[in-house]
Amino acid sequence: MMVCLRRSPTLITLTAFDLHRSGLSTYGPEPCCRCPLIRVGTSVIMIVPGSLHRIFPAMAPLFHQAFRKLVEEQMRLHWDDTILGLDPRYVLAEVSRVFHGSTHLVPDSLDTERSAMFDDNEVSGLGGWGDPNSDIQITTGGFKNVVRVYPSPHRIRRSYTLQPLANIPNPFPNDPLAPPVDPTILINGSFTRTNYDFLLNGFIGDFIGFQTYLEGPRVLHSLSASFDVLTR
Amino acid sequence: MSGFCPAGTGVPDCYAGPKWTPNDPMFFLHHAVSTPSLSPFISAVKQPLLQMIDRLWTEWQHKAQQNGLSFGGGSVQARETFEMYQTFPNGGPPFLHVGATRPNAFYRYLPPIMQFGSVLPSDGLWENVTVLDVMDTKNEVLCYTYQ
Repeated sequence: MMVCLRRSPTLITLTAFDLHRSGLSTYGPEPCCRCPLIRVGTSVIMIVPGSLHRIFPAMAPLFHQAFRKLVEEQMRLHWDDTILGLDPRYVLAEVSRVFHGSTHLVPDSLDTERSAMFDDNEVSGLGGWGDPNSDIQITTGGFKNVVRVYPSPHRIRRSYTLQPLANIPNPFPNDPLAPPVDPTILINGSFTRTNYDFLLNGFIGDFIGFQTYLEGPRVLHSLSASFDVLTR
Repeated sequence: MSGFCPAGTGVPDCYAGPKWTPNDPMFFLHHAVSTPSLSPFISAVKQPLLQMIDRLWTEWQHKAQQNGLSFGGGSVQARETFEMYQTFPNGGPPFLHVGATRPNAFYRYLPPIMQFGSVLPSDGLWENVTVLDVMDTKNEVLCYTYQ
C-alpha cells in the first residue's frame, strides 16, 4: 500500500489484496489487472494490481486495518461533502465489482451478522448481537448505555437468527386452509430485487394487495433481508 | 424484527411480539431512514436495495396515478384464523377510509363506524389526524420527502 499525502485530491494507492482483506468477503477468481480509480470525496483511490499478499501473507491483518483506517479517515474529513452516501462498503463493493467483474461480492444484506454496521465502534456501530449469557443485552457500540423501561427496565437486547421461522410458532396452527410453513427459510433471501420490483410495480390501485404482500405474516416486512434480527 | 420478553420482567401480561421493537434504535433505520446518496460507480441494478418499509409505500404511491390515494383496510387485526386473514388481510371492521374527514357537525350524525374510520386514534398523545392527512409525506402533518 502506498499513500500520497497531498492535500487535495489525496491519492491513495491500494493493491487488490488490500481490498480483499479489508473487511468484505469476496468470492471468485483472483483479481484481474485493471486499475480503476475510485473517488471518495476529494480523494482518489487508485487500485493497482499487486501480489503483496503472496509475498507477505503474514501482513494481511495490517493491510486490512490500514485500509479501513484510510477510508474512515477520508469519511471523517469529508463528512460535509455530499459523499456521505459513499459508505466504505460502497467503495469496497465497487472495487470488488471492478476486480471481479460482477457480483462475486457478498453484500451486507446477505451477511448481516458480520456487517460493519453492527460492529462495536462507539461512534458508528450498533453494538453487535447481545450477550447470550446476559439476556442478549448489548454491551458495546453507540447505544451500550441506553436503558429501556418497557415492558421492564433493561438494556437494548438484540440477537440474530438466520432461520427465524424455525423458532416462531405457526400463526395459524391446526388450520387446514393455511399454507404450510417452511421452517428452513433463510431470512436473507426474502428481500430480493425480484420481490422489490414485484411489490413496487404491481398492485396498481390496489392498496390492500400491496399492503398484504408487504406486511402479511412471514412476508417481506417480517422477513426483511438486511434487518433479519430479533430485537427484544 | 420481533421480540420476546426480557428475562425476569415480572410483568404477567408480557407476550412476545413486535410491539416493542422500537426499543432498539435500529428500528428506525429499518422503517424510516433514507440513504442520502449512493455510489455513482455502482450501476442501478447493483445498487443496494433500500428497505425502509415506510419509504416503500411512498415509492409505490408514485409508481402509478391510481396508487396515490389508494387506501383501504380495517382498524382491528383479524388473524384468528387463516380464513379471517384472507378475508381481511390488512384489518377487519371498523374500516378506515381515505376519503373520510374530521368529525364535524355533519359527520356527527353518521353511523359511528364512519367517525371512527375517519380519524387515526391517538389516545390523546397527539392531535387527531385523519387518514387523508397522512396519505402524502409532503402534507402538513408529516412534511418530509425521501431523497
